[in-house]
Amino acid sequence: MADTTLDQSMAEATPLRFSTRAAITHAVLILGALIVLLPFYTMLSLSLKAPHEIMQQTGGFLGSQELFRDDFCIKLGNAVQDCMVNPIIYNYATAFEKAPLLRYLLNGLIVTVSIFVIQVIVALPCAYALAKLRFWGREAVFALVLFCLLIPVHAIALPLYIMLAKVGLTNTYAALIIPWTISVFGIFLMRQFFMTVPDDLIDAARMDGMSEYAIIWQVMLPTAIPALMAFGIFSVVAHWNDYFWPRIVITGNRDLFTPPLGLREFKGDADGDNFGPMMATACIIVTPLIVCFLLAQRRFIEGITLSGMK
Amino acid sequence: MSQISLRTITKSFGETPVLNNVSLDIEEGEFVTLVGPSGCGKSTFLRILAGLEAADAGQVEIQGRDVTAIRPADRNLAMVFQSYALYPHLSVAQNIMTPLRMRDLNRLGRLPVIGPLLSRAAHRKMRDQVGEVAETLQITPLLDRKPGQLSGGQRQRVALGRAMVRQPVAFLMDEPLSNLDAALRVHMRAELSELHRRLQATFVYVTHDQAEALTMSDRMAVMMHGDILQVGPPNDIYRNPASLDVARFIGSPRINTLPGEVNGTGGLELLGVTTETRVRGLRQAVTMGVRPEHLHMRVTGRFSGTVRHRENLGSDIFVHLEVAGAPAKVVLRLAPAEAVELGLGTRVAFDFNPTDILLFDATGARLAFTHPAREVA
Ligand SMILES: Nc1ncnc2c1ncn2[C@@H]1O[C@H](COP(=O)(O)OP(=O)(O)OP(=O)(O)O)[C@@H](O)[C@H]1O
Ligand SMILES: [Mg+2]
Repeated sequence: MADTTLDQSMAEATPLRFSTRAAITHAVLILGALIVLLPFYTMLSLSLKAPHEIMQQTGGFLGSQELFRDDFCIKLGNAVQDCMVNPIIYNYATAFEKAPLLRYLLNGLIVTVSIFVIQVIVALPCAYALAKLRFWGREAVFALVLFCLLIPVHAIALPLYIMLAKVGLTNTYAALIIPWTISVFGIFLMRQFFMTVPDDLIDAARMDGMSEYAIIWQVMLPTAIPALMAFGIFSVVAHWNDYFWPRIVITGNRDLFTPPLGLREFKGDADGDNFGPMMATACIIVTPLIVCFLLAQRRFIEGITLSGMK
Repeated sequence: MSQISLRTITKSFGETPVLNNVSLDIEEGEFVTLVGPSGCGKSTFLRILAGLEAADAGQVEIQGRDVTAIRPADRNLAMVFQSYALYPHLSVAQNIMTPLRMRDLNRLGRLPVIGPLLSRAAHRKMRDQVGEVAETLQITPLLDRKPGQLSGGQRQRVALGRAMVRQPVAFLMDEPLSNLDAALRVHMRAELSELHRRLQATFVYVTHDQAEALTMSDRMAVMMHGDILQVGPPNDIYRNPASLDVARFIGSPRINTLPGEVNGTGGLELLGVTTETRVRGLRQAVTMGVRPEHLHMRVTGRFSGTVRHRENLGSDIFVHLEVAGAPAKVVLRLAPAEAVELGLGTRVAFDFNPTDILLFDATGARLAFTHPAREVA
């Protein structure tokens, strides 16, 4: 009886009460969100504006959206009135015209998906063995995994590059994919998750006649979906956005460019930096990720809380 | 020849010995219970039988075949786990079907979508078998649910179904009822016994709850500290325990124990009373055990104590007496009518029938005794 009245009064009071603590928390969070969003704001804004508005920093967020004269078009010998263009159309059309952006997006897709799939194929059995099988030296192997987590990719980039160059794999998809197929982070994350799977479940599967590999793919994989989603997002985001490694191993062949490499096309041209189309490209590149994030938002947050990486 | 036999099984985890030379034979169709206090090695023993754990030494034979080195799946045993261990991502029907899929289908037939198309007959047969099992366990309406949407009792049944569907040599159960509430546990006890009668299959059941062991088993094996102390039908073990440890473990409330002494002439002295019980042997300290139901309130009783606590179970009342010279309270089982006017602090005289007592020597082993015929009121 006393409990229910207490509950009711709490339920009624909560929306009315002003809490300084909550207010401060929210103020800090809003500030943080603004700082994080500012570059995106600039990126989107610049992709909508005409070059002179970008240079003079006028026009607010949207720009005036007046037609302007495309100098490159005039250089090609067209009449002035044919070369008046809308800034949005100009920026986005140039992004697609000047570089094979669709090709880059496709490359990005091929590379990130291949990396993720192979990472899973490698990491799940490793994690299963480290979490659930008893064998000599297991702790040492796990310590090695933890140790490998500490190695920054840049430290091993040069030897990796040399190795790939020696076997003649530079400028191939393989060069983009192979170095990332063994993810110690993935092994670690999945191992931590598998530790929480009850041993009885695995023993039950053994009694039912499953082999160890069948247990991995038919029992552990389905129960590990939330953890895999989290890992998948980390992996895909990291490799979709990676500029460093593709820049090293893809040296001439534009057909193999990943989206971040595509951004370079607008940098350091003879006729100066062309920020509008460049930002339009950036917008196009981040859109798939943002869409994926919005679709998988809840899973993503679950995954981060799960891995304790807040 | 027995259906399952375990011979001189020894197992230790690191330095800790868990099983010391344990042997057990199980006949076909028997309901055998392994009972013992927590941590005595029951689960380990069962897991060695199942093949989930390897013994350090000893053999496991099933139907005359040495299976010591054979993997669990090929021993044709089924196991029900304490946590039920249902596959959380599969429906109840798929859970029950899993052992059939793994046994009856080849790699191709197990593929998700084309599997059922390729081996249509096998799949139809499997679905029928699942349907039958579900019918037996009355879980047909639950077949499409996921384990997460079931109550504890329902999960228990699904776990049983997954074990039954394959018609294994024996069912192994590791405390399958311990996650259920008290009422459901009693109900499932009856259901398991019923199931055993109907299936005529061998059941090996592990529990630390002696009530489960007493009510369900044909034979029970009492385990303690990694040894099987006594094997036999529940009644024999209850009436005729081989040692003080067994006597103390089986029976609730616990058997009353009183310190005693065998005097120079072989007479048993208890709390200063010389009884007519004769023990052959030397003068020695002994322990007498007597069950609460064998103590009677009697005005002429030779022993007496003060009521310190009453436990009313409705049908019975357990009265706890403080008796001078006894290290622990002495418990009497009384009918409610007898116990009406026994308030706390009342002095009560009690006695026992000399044939109802058990005597143990200082090491806890049973002592034989004789007694001249005495009239019992
Ligand atoms: N994997 C293991 N590693 C180390 N020690 C273990 C392991 N499994 C069990 N033990 C130890 O072996 C002993 C027996 O364990 P077991 O699980 O067989 O007990 P039990 O009789 O089933 O107890 P309970 O009734 O609590 O389930 C315990 O002391 C336990 O600590
Ligand atoms: Mg146990």
